[in-house]
Amino acid sequence: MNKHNKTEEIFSENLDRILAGEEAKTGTVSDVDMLSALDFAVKMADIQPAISTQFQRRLKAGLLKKLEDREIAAVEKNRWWAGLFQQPAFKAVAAVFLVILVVSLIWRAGVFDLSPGVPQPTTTPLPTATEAATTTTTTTTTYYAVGSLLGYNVRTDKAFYQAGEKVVISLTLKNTANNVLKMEKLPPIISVMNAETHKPVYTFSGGKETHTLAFGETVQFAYTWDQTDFNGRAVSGGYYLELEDIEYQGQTLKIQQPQPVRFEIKPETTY
Amino acid sequence: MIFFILLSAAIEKVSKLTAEAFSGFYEEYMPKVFKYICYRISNKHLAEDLTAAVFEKALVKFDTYNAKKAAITTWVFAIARNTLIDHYRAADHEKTTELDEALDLPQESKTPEQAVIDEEQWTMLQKCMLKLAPNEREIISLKFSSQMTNRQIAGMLGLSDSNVGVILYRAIRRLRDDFQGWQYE
Repeated sequence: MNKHNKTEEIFSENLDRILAGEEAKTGTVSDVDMLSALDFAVKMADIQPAISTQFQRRLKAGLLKKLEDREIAAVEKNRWWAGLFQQPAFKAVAAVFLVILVVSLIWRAGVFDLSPGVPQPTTTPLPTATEAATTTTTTTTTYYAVGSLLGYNVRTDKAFYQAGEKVVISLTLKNTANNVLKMEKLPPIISVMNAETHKPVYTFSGGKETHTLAFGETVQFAYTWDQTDFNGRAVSGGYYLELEDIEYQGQTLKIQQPQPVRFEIKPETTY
Repeated sequence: MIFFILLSAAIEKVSKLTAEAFSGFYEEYMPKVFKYICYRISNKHLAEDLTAAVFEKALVKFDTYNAKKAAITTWVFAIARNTLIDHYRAADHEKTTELDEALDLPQESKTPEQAVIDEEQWTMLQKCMLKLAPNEREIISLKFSSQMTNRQIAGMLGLSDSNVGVILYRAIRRLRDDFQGWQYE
C-alpha cells in the first residue's frame, strides 16, 4: 500500500510539472508503466483544444457590457435618490412640513393666547373706574397699541358662561409714550358684538374720568355685563369685545385689535 | 444629499476596479473553463454556450466572491461543474454523445496537416474518455483544464487527496491503453 501511494504521489508531482509547462523529473523513476503514463500525459497536454479568438473576444465584450450596464443602473439608482431632494415638489412638501411644525411649536408656546381669566366681578351695570394704577407693568400681560401713546389689554373673566352669569370685562390702559399723559373721558367705550352678525348687542358708554399716567403707568377698568341686549332681553351665543378709539387732546388714538376677545354664553336650559 | 453624491462617486470608482478585475479574471480562466467543458462536451457550439453561461454566472457573483472561503480557481470551476450538471439534467444524459460535430481546433498557430492530426486525436481522446467512469472523467477534466492540485480537486469533489491521485493515475493509464489501441486499429 505504501509503495502504491508513493507511486501515485510521484506520478501526481510529475503530472503537475507537465501541466505547468515544465519537464517531468523521471531520472530516478524506474517504473516503465509510470513513465509511459507520463509520456501520454504530455501528449494529452499537447492536444488540448484551444479557443477561437473570435469567440473569446465576443464573449468578453458582452460580459463587460453587462457589467457596465449593471454599474450604470446602480449609479442611476443612487442619483435618483439624490435628485429627489432637488425636486421642487419635494422641497415644497418639506417646506410645508417645516412651517406646520414651527407654527405648532409657537402655538403650544401660547403666543396667540389673548384671553386669560380676570378676577373681581362687580354688581353694577355701569362701568366703574378703579385707579389701581400700578407703577410697574406685569411681565405676563400683553398690550396692544392704542395709537402710538397707549397700550391696552382687555379680557373677560371666563371664556364660557352659563345663562344669567355676570360677564366681567377688565380693561387695562398703559402709557407707552415717553411723557406724562393726561387722559380724559375714561373709561373708553366697549361694545359687546354678536360673533355671527358682527353687530353690537350691548355698549358700555364712555366715562368722564380723568387719569394722569406717567410713562409705563397703567390704569384698570372693570365692566360688568348681565347678558342683556339694548332692549333688556337675555341673549346667548358667541360674542366678542370691540374697543372704541380713544380721544387724546383732539387726536384719535386708533385701537389695534389683532384678535378680539371672544366668549360664549350657553342658552338657558328649559325642560 | 451630500451622502448620496459621495456614494455615487464611490460606486463609480468601484465599478472601474471591478471591470479591470473581471477582465483579468476572464483572460486567465476563460481558456481553462473552456477546456474543461470541451473535455465533457464535444459539440463546439454547445461548449461555447456553456462557457458563456459559466462566465455570466461568475459575473453576477463576482462582487460577492470571498477569497477566504475558496481559491478563485476552485470557485470558478465549481460554477463550471454546476453548469455542466444542470446541462446534463436538462439534456437527460450523463456522457458526451454528440460526436457528430467534432470540436474545431484553432488553425492560427498550426499547419493544416497538424490541425487535422490534432483534430483526429482529439476526437479519439473524446471517445476514450467516454469509456472512463464518471468520477474518472470528472477528475481528468478538472486536472488537465484547471491545473488544480489534487488537494483542490479533492476538496471540490469531497474526496481525499490520495484518492484523487489514485484515480488520476489509473484513469490516465486506461486512456493511454485505449488511445494506443485506437491508434492501431
